[in-house]
Amino acid sequence: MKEALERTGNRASLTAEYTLGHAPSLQHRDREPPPDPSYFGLPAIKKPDWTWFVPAYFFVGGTASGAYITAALADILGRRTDRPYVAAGRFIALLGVLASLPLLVADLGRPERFLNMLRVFKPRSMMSTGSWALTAFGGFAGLAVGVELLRALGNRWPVLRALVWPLRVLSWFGVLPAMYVGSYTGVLLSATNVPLWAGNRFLMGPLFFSSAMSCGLAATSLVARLIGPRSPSGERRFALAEQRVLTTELAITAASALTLRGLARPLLIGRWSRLYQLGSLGAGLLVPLLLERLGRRGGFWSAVSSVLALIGGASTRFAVTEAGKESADDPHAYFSYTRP
Amino acid sequence: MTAHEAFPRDQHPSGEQYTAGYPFYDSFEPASPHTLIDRESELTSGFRVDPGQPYGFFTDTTLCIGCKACEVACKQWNSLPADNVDFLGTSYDNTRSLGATTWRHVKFVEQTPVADGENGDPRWLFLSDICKHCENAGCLEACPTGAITRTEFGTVVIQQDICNGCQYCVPACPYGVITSDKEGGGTAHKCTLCYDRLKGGLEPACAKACPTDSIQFGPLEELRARAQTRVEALRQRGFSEARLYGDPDGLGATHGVQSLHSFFLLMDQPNVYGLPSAPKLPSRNIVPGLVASFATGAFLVGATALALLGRK
Repeated sequence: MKEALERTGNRASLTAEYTLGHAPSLQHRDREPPPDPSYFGLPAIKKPDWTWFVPAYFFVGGTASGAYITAALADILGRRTDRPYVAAGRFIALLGVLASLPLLVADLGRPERFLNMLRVFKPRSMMSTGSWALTAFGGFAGLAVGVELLRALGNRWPVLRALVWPLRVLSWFGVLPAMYVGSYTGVLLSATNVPLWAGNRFLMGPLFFSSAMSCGLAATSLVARLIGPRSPSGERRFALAEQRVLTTELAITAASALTLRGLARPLLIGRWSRLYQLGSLGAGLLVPLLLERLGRRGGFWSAVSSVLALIGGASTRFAVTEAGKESADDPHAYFSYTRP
Repeated sequence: MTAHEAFPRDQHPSGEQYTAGYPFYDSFEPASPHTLIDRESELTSGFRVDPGQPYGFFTDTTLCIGCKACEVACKQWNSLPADNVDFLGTSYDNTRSLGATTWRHVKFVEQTPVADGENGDPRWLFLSDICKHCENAGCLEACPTGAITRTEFGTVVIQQDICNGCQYCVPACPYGVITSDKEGGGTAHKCTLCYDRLKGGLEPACAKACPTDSIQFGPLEELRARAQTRVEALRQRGFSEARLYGDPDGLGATHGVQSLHSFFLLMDQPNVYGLPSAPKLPSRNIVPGLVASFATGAFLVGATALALLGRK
């Protein structure tokens, strides 16, 4: 430790060493070890040429899964006044799945072959299991909206009411594929060689799932306010759930930073770092949690928090995906990830 | 009658029409009239090509002279275009990297050791890079369509008529080999270890073209034995830095990759050649990620449920 302090000179650069992987101190430049060798600094791995469709899908699909889980929980545990939340969550889930499909298909090099995704089932391919889970989740999302429609039509044709209960119970099982859809995108990114993603293999899935859950809760609360009568109790309880999820997400983010250390560099100083810091950390996590701390809760303020959580969720997907491409281009990051 | 008239390009001698793309999707009999010499590989490489046993390359970088004949032979046989021809300022390497249309890539490393402030004798290191045809291939595991398969020669090949261009195999390769050509056909491409030539009893094009036998083709077992002898000989001659890259569970084939069917003899640490020392098989991240995800999922569902049940 004494040696580390001596080497880095002061506390500030010690922090920098722990976060960046090296101490950018000019006065000690001569004592710095030479950089790891690489082949002309050229990338040692290739990055996927995914367009913005892919992070957009991560956001939309995640929000859909979070909304589905929110609706199912509100359906099972909620009160009579939570009905607008159930309906909102179910519709958001189906719309999210429907919006996901064109985003995913359009990004393929051969879009007309998208059904080849369901040609085989491979447990060792996250892209394969994810495609199957999304298919199953799409079915459940359709079923849940079907329950909503049956309920509405039941007023006119009472015969249909008999169908509502069994289908409603069946729709609760959709929570499992929804959880998979919300988290697999993070695991998919981590099951590669990209240092920023793979270096955080334990927490990429949890990070994406907590973000999916906060976005789902936020979107459901916002839409429920638009379509239903005002319910102060509902607003309070859903806002509380959102706060808890955001707190978890903050903890996972902090743990990820400690895991990644120097590999997190693209999120600290890269081209996408500003979006990550302002959008994901600031707007998405710190401001909503701060508003709660300051007692700005309920009514208008919880709507503001929900909008911010959605902005944060979108920023996280875009920043993490794009910064991953930067980290793939950095041979030193890859060699430090694959150091024996 | 000219040869072209006898065997038109788009027609198999059996009268069958070739499908678009790569010729090896049709039934190609080993002793078809196309094969000028039956089992030619026996003459050029010393090994017969029989399906059912693994074949590979041993690339001995100490014998490489950087002539790029392998790059050219590969492009020629596989009808790959010459692309991005430019001076890049990276020694004699104007290819830069393996890509969708570059399946062999000769790397040029210039080293000038510095001792006591004096420049020592500079040395060249060459390496003809190629797909490693891993024992456990990250790309093969990642492929969601089943387009990437293991052939009867133990090699890894992308079926061009099945790949849908999702690009998930691209970051799954620990060596930066497999590449998608978004501007071209939209699918992923890499070295096939000349699957079509192996089927026809021919040695792969790059190995046949190599003038110094730096690239050696053959059955994996025999190549490994040969490589071991070579490393020991080099070490005895004082080159203690000689090492194999891709030996079973050794350097370059760690953390689940197991071994490389296309392996190398290196004269410095792998990073110098742009190769990872201890690559990791990406699929090993799946189970920890999913377990942690479902634990978090259960926790957050519980937390949300408690909030919704609250009295307020």
